[in-house]
Amino acid sequence: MNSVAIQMIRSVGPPLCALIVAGVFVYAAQSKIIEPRQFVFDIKNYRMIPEELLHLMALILPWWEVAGAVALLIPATRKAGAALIIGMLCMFIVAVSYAALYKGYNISCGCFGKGSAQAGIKTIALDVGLIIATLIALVPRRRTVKVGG
Amino acid sequence: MYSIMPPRQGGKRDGPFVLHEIGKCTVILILATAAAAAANHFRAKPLTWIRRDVTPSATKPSMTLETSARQSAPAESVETATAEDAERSAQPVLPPDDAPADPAQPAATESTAPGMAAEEVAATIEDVLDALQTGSAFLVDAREDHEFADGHLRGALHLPSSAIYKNIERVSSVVPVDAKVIVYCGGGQCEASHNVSDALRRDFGYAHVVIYLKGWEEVVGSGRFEAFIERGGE
Repeated sequence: MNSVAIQMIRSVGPPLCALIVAGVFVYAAQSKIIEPRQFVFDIKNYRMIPEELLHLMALILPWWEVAGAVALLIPATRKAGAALIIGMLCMFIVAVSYAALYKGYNISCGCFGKGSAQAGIKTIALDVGLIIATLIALVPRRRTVKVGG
Repeated sequence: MYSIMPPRQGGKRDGPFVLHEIGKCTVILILATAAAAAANHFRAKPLTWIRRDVTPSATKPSMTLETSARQSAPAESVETATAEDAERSAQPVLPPDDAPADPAQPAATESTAPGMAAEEVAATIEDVLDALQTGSAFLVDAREDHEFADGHLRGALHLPSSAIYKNIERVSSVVPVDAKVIVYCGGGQCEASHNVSDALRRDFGYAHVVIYLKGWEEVVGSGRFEAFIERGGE
């Protein structure tokens, strides 16, 4: 019974994690795509990006999130999608660590547009959790193969 | 029937395999960037790809009424005018309603950058009190909902910096674009008022927006606003 349960978890776990991570990223991106002007200020609050590049980042970053999410769901591009997502999450962790923890800025993380939590330890913990889920999504599903005639 | 794992790939494929995945990443990013460009192109108000700073110099943290007058503060200082300095200043921060058409009046002093209109200087505590007593300017509170509910200046319009474009009707339905607007937030390192004033100038055409840099911190600490503090939300 235990081995059956484990097999079920190993067969359902990776695609479920892929779906969760992709869903979080698409949800996070949609409000930023709809209103990029607001996202400009979220990025500006971190005080890490030059003023001239704020629009560029606000326009491109949400679409990169969507692209990474979609790529994670497609088997042929799953590894590439995971690499993009993990890369972006690492970038977010560095940004939050610098702005909120090192500099002590009291800012919204800007992760989900309006209603985003304050940038801090919880944001970093969420990002680490998403990285772990993305890695789980990469675990290949066990395949059963007929052997013999 | 037996379940077997797929055979491990040999080391010889690792190099090209990694390059293959990097190539996929590159293609995905290029396609995503193209989608971003297309979405922006068809937007009602497309964003420029390179952002130009339209913030008047005196409202930047590096230069305010007080620091430019003293010429002693470091570049990143956010020190602002106090009531005493405002009284010593020979130049009014906000021009009177019958001000001459030429915005360059009084002559550029140490309090303003050359060629800068007087109304572009950061607001002082006296300006805010005057606005409360005489209605000479509209007040905009850029703090978050719970901060506004805990206490705000009487008559201040609530436009949180985290949701400017969702709530802009609160200001645009009441304040004419040629009216004087004073934006405040928590004070200190709070950037909310900068963001809101930037949006009002850049996206909604408000020409006379100034920032009360010391914000709520001074409102509470000065003891001069007791009669003008309200509590509760919108």
